[in-house]
Amino acid sequence: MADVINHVLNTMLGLNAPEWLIIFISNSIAVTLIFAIAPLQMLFMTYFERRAIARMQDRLGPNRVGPKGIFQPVADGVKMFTKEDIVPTAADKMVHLLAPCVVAAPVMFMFAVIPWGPGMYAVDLDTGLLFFFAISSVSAVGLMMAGWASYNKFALLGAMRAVAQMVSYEVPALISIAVIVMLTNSMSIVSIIEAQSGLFISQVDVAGIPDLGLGWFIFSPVGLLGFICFFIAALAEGERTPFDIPEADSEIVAGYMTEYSGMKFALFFLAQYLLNFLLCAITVITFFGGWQGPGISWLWSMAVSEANPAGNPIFNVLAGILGTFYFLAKTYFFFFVMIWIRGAFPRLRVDQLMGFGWKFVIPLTIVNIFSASLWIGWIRWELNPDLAFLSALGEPYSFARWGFAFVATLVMNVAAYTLMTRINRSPDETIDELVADQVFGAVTLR
Amino acid sequence: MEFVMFFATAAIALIGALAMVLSPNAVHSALFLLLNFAAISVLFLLLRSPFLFAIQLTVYAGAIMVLFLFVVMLLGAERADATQDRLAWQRPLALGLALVLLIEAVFISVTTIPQTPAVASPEAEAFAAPANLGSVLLTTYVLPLQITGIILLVAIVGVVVLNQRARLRHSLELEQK
Repeated sequence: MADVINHVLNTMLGLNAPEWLIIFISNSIAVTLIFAIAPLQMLFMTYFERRAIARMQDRLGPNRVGPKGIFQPVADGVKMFTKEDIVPTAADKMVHLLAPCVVAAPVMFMFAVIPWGPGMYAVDLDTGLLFFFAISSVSAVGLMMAGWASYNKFALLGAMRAVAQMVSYEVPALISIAVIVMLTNSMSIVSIIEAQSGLFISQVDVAGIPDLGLGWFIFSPVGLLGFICFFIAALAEGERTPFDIPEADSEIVAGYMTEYSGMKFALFFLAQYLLNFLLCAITVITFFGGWQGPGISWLWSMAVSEANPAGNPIFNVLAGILGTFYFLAKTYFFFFVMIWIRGAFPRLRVDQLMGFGWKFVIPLTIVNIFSASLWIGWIRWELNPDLAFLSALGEPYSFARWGFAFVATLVMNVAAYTLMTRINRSPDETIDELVADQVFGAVTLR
Repeated sequence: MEFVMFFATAAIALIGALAMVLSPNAVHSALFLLLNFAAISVLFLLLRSPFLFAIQLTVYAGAIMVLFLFVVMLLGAERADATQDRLAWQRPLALGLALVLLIEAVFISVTTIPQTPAVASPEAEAFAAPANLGSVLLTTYVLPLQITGIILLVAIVGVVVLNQRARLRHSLELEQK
């Protein structure tokens, strides 16, 4: 963003603005945008979820406030603001007050490293991906604070469940993301997206075909298994059905949120929906190319950037609009999948949740690390100076090698999946029953 | 700017540490310790090491503090008993040891650390990069890394063994009944 402001102020208007002013302006714009856009996302997401789940359950959903009920979230916000703030007498007042802030603040931090379009990010840390997950682990402490400070058995139970779930599903999430770090050689979110340009035959460029921005990591067996494991872990981290055990309303009222009302409750709600949005966004960024898509690289090549300081800022805006459109379309698709799963599956039991995480998802992600290293070795072995003569063999050879690596890693991952389903079933259970009972949490009554 | 940031963060870290020691409520102590960890992670950021910043947050704030809170909250041990379980000589001994440590730290910082502030060079920036850190860990410091890994593995195996033994005893008692 600093590039564009520098271009507009100094080159086009000739103001000779100093460097600190440009950095100050670009950072202020980024921070303002984040704090304005994040709550708006949450407002739209609540409306979207209520309408979509209503359609799935053959109801209408909120449809009274404004056209098609689009202003329902605003009405909800007004209601939240004017509600009485009730604090239990036995509660620890200070911790009770701080807990929603400790939950919500890390989520806002996480927005800082999310790129919305080409060149549209607040900061590009070279450990951006790690920063994302490091910050998200702080909000677990906020959940514990809420559960403990409420002085309520249901709240404490909910907090315990939430934290146990978050801590155990962080492991598969991070291992499946580690595969992407291996593929791109970088933990910077911006360079992970840039690595997913080109064609869907990953890492192979074909002369004469333009950059379509479709080199997503999902188009490889390694990325596919990583995506499946990561999305399952994301459902658990975001406390979505079928993993919404911490706020199982039929068992423990509303979990750690039981004793909260008014704006404090709204803050928990905000944090949760924003976390869901961010988890969908990071799924899209790591496995579905983020803002990559057809047309982006053509627009971006004419825009102002570090490589091309003499470009035209209009193309920055155009590439930004198209990139944000691709990014949000993919992100909202995955949010829709989350709603879809909520409409389709019942809730898991706590032991099923833990067993599924530790005995099924984590072994799969570890196998995926092995197949990722084989994949990288086969795809890129001409980068080794001793094997550089292989790159002279030309395109048919690199296609054949890509195909071999694809089939080999696919076989490995499918074998691992089959093995894990066999290991995890009880002796008298067929695989179909296991999938119905353990994997999808559907209770089979006999 | 960096100067102001450093003193603000250091003050927060000190306040967190002091409040942790002085607070009578164990949960409050744990939360103040979390504040201290967060401030220290910001100090790592000021030293241009975003990798250590993230690791400090995940390992200490995310994992260790959650474990502490889990234990304290589940045991309901948040109120320390004022009379019971307090050794008379413990407090003066701790103060004396802290004084020794303070004098040692001041002495070392006065004698060995250069007085002129270090300028952030490109090499220094690259030194803290995760790729660099990883290659150093797996080449120069591979033995300490392996030893730490084995110690952690032994601890995990120990937990499983102890847990199984308790479970076995429990089932034996059930059989006897």
